[in-house]
Amino acid sequence: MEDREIVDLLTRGEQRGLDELLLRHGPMLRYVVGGVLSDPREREECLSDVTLAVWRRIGTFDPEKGTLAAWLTVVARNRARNRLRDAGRRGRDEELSPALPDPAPGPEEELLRRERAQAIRRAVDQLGRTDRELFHRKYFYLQSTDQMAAELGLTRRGVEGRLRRLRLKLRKELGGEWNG
Amino acid sequence: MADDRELDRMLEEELTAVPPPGDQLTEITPWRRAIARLIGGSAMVLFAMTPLGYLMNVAGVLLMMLGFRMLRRENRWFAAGWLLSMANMALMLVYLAWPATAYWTLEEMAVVNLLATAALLGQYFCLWWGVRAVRRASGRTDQAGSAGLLFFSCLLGTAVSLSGLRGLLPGLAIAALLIFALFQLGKVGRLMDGVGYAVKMAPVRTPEWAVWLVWLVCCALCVPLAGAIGAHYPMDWTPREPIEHTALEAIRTDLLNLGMPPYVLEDLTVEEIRALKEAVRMEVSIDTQPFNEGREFRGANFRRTVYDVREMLFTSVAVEMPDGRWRVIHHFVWQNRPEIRGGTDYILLSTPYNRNEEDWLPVGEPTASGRLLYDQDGVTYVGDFYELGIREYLIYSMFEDPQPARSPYAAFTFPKEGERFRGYLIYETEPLESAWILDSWIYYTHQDRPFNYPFVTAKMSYEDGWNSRCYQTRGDAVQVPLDE
Repeated sequence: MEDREIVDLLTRGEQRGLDELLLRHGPMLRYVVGGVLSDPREREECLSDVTLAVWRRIGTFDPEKGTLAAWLTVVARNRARNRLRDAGRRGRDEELSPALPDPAPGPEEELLRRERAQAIRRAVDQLGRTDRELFHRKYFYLQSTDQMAAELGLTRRGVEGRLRRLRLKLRKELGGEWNG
Repeated sequence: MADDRELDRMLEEELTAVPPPGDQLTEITPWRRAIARLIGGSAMVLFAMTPLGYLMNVAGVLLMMLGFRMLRRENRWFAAGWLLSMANMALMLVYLAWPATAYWTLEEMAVVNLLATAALLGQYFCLWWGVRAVRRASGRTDQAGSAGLLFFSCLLGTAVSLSGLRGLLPGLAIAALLIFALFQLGKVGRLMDGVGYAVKMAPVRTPEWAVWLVWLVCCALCVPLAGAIGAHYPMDWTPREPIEHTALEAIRTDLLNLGMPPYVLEDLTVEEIRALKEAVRMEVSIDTQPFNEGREFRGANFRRTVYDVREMLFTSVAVEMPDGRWRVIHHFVWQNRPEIRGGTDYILLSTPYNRNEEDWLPVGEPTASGRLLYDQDGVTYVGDFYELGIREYLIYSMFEDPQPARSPYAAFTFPKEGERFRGYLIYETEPLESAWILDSWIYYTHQDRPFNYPFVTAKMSYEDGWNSRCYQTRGDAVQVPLDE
């Protein structure tokens, strides 16, 4: 079944859409969540959260802005990150929506956020292909060094070295507040 | 360090609202890199039948190993594929190095090729079943048609190739099968879409760049190393024992008086000199021959090649004995050190009895005997030929059916260091009543170009015509009318 048909089923509230979604994209969701959460029980609970979030928020998916796989990846990543942060903070009730902006910040904060986002995009565009992939694995997928090493065919030390050089490049490109 | 953690935290936070572009998201998968290596390596190996064949094979087998290496922990099929890929790499080194020696044969290389083909087919089989296992573990159907078709098309191509079928039609069939196989290769990656995320990548201890470096160095060095060790015959040289001349003085004087060159006499053994006792007649032919390209000389209306240096001195001596038999000595001396030394040389004698069985007979076995000599630091060293034997072949003529012939030959290697490399071959022949001329030839084949890979010995070059541009053959003859 194509992604378009899956979205149609989910929009109509049909359970079969969810089944097809998990069949088609389930392994990818597990991959994204598994990179962030090491505990198997946390992973399964997170996947349930993701499934529920997709079921509830399928209306916010805009096919003009990207593929279903990309949208699902963002949902899964943010859910997993929330769970990880919550486990560390124990009790703070905070949630990030993948599609809606944080309602709390004012216009000034929103402007700053957009500028930071543009700066990051510009800096990432300057990176070579390998560094770009490493950047996304590290800061978006939140993958461990061991996972990155195995999937990139590098040693752990090799990945650490590349991350060090990557941080130096990013600090140089981003400047200002990023330099600590 | 604290700064790095703060930077990491800030970037993680910001990327929540700045996800990567959609196309980049799908690039980051556990399996894509592994499959890309398997597909790239397979394509290179399949297309190795091109002028860049060696390079593509070298790169292709390594890429396949790197691909299976990443997948080896996922299931036993990928693990088996990894082991087979490493076996293929070992066979690749044998394939490169063995033909750099003087010992390889077509039959041996055919076995190596067969084993490498089996290893490659085994890898395609493991890829097929490994993908099936991944799909099954992800709850998908375990069909992996493209990977299976790849395996079967390569199997069929191998069968057609092994069947010995030759011609345009089988060639076109194999080409079509290979192209079909490549199309299937392109589809294999799509078999893993969606299910490949469940694949577990195996950690590596050696980074890929290091593996590439070591592999390329091994491939580059194995050939010259094998050549240095094996591109020659193993010879056994010993210092020559001083000869007691007193007992032979009378024979030596007679031979010198008959016309034997002293430098030939000096090289013969005591037994060989004694065998020439009471020689009745002697005919000597002396000639120099070049083993170089010479230079072009242009006249008013002609041009020819002129040789300023003629390295080889041939001396052919035919000695008639009292019983009517003839002993023929073909002696050769490198007057100048050959440019290419330490390789293989080859001599073939064309004797009266192998060209004309009706008029001449060999005495005893139709083989020849002899030895090699060279000087170094005032010492003369002697050694036997590496091979002394009889070459059986057919002589083709326009006027009659091919005639079988048997000629003595010798194969040997002179050392790289030393001077005055020389040697000789002796045989004995008996004229029948109808014989009217003794006509004996020596053909000497020597490598005169440095690049010789796959290594072809002088013997292979002369007898089978292989890589003949690497070798030159020069000759001389002694001819004696018998009615004088």
